Order: sequence, then C-alpha cells, then structure tokens
Amino acid sequence: MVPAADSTGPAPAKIVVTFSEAVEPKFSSIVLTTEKGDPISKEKSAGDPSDAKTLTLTPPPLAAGDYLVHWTSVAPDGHKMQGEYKFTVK
Amino acid sequence: MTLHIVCSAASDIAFSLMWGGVLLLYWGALPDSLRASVHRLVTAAAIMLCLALPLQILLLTSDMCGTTHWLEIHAVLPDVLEMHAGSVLRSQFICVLLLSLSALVPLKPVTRRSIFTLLLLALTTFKAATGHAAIDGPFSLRELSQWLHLASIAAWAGGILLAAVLSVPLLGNESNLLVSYLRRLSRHCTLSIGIVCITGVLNSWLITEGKLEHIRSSTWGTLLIVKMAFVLVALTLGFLNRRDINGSLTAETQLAVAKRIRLEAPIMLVILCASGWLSALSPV
Repeated sequence: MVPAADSTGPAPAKIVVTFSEAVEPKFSSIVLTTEKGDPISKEKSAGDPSDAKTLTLTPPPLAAGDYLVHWTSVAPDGHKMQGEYKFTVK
Repeated sequence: MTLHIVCSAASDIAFSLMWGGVLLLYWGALPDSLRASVHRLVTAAAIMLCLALPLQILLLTSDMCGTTHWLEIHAVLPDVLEMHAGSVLRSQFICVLLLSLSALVPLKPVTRRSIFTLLLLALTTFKAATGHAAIDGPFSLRELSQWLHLASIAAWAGGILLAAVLSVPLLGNESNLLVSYLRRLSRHCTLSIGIVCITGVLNSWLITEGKLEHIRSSTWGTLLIVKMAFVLVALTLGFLNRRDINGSLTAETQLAVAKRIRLEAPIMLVILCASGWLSALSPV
C-alpha cells in the first residue's frame, strides 16, 4: 500500500493498493476521505493494466492532516471484500 | 446473504440429483419405471437449476455493485456477465437449459443418457471454475481438484438421495434387484467418498494456502468443521450399511439398510447446504 497504513509523510502523488489476488477494476475501488469520512475528490480509482492486483487513485494536493483510504475489492470469482486504513500527511 | 446461501444450496442439491441420476442410468438392469423416474428427476433438477442460476447471477451482480435496485443491477449486468464469475454462471445456465429442453424431444434412452452425460460433464466443468477455485485462473490444479471434489460429492450425495426417495422404495418388492442395487450403491459411495476425502483435504489446503489457523479463526473454517462433522456421521452410517450389504442380506438387514439410507439422506442435504454456504463465504 502506498502510502503505508498508519504512516506519516509528505502528501502522496498517488494512492496505490495492491491486493493478494487479481481484482475486477470495474467493481473494485479506492475512495479517499478525511478522518470524518468526507470524500476528498470525485476522482475514480483505476486498475493497473500491467498488474491485475493493483488499484490506483490520483488524489488532489493534500493538506496536512489525517486521511482514510477505503478500499473495495471484487475478485474474478465474485467475492467482495472491503477495508480501510489511515495515513497522515505532515 | 441468506438468499445467496439458499440459492447455492438449491443449486448444489439439484446438481447432486443430476449426478446421482445420470450415474444410475449406467448401472443397467433397471426396471423401466425406475429408469423413467430417473429421467424425470434429472430433468426436474435441471429445471430447478434453470431457475436458481439466473437468480444467482442477479445476486452476484447485486453483491458486486452493492445495490438492490433493479435498474442499477440491470445497468451493470452486461459487465458482470463478461467477467469470469458471470460468464461461468451463464455457461452453466446454457447447459441446464439444453438439458431441460432435451426432455421435450423424443429420444432413445441411450441417446438421452449420452446427452445428459455430456451436458452434466460440461456443467461440472463450469461449476468447478466458479468460486474459490477460480483464483488461480483456468485449467489450474485448484480447478481440477474442485472438479473431482464436486463430481464425487454430487455422485455420493445424489446416489444416497436417489436411493432414499426413488430407488429403494421402487425396488422394495424386487429383492434380487434391490440387493444388487444396494451392493452397487455401496461400491459407488465408497469410491466417491475416497475421492471426496482426498480432494477435500487438497482443496482446503490450497484455499488456506497451508495456513491451518484460517480454519480455526474464520466463519468459513467453523462452517467447514461443522460440515466435516456431518460428513463423519454420514460416513459412519455408510460404513454400517457397507458391513451389512457385504454380508448375507436378510430381509431384516435390508430393512435396516433402507432405514439408514433414509436417515443418511437428510444428512447429505445438510452437507450440501453447508457446501452452498461455504461457497458464499470468504475463506480468509
């Protein structure tokens, strides 16, 4: 995961989540929100054409603060998983 | 989730009845009445799958796009049917639809049996390519192991279910045929159980990637243990039946075997429901 879960650092140019299995990009997503859950942008995440296990999201410039990455993955077998993690911009 | 489990369980039961029925058609020396009943039961099971599979596709779509609104489901349905999980369900539906339609065509029993067999083998191949077994892609060891597991558990469960509801009651008055049928069923179940056990262990190992703590720590693992407990009960009943069948079968022991088969049938239904539930859960 870029940035890593619970990490603190500069604002990331991209948010990258790599899953243990291939995902269906049309039904899988990354959504970036503030710690309170307010969405940061309407930009949609996309699959990586060279790596079926990876989703990326290009966020707008982020101010200092805490952010949550909410991810949803749908595997080719149809199983759906969801989760979230936090990172901090210094 | 509940509807998904009910649908998967109904599919697994119908699939088992089809396997049990088609294999029974190869056993020979069956009375015409039993053969005709088996044809009707296999067709009924195929029709049951014709109803369950479209529902499974809709439930999959609903789950994947996180909505129960028909218009939203309808909008993404083509995308779901294009991806792996959707396309194999669609292929399964085509197999059972053809099988159901074949019942409308007047055919010789041998031709009908061949059509049933080919479509059932194709259906099993598509069924083995769904769920957890699809993770490694097509034609993988997981899919091969899943194919053998599905076929053998369906042959075992289907054999018992058919014996309980159809064969034993119909053959009850023909002692020689019943004895020969029970001996054949016993050999058939023993072979199927052997394959179920080997492929079951291999599948669990592949799904958990050898990390057995997943079995102890997840709902999937707990349900797998419950399923195994019922499998053990069914195995015990099967062992008792095999012991009696391989001895000298008196009228009394025939009754005892028939009684145990009737007891084993609901246990097989529980095992099939647990399998349907397991397929709806994530192993980790």
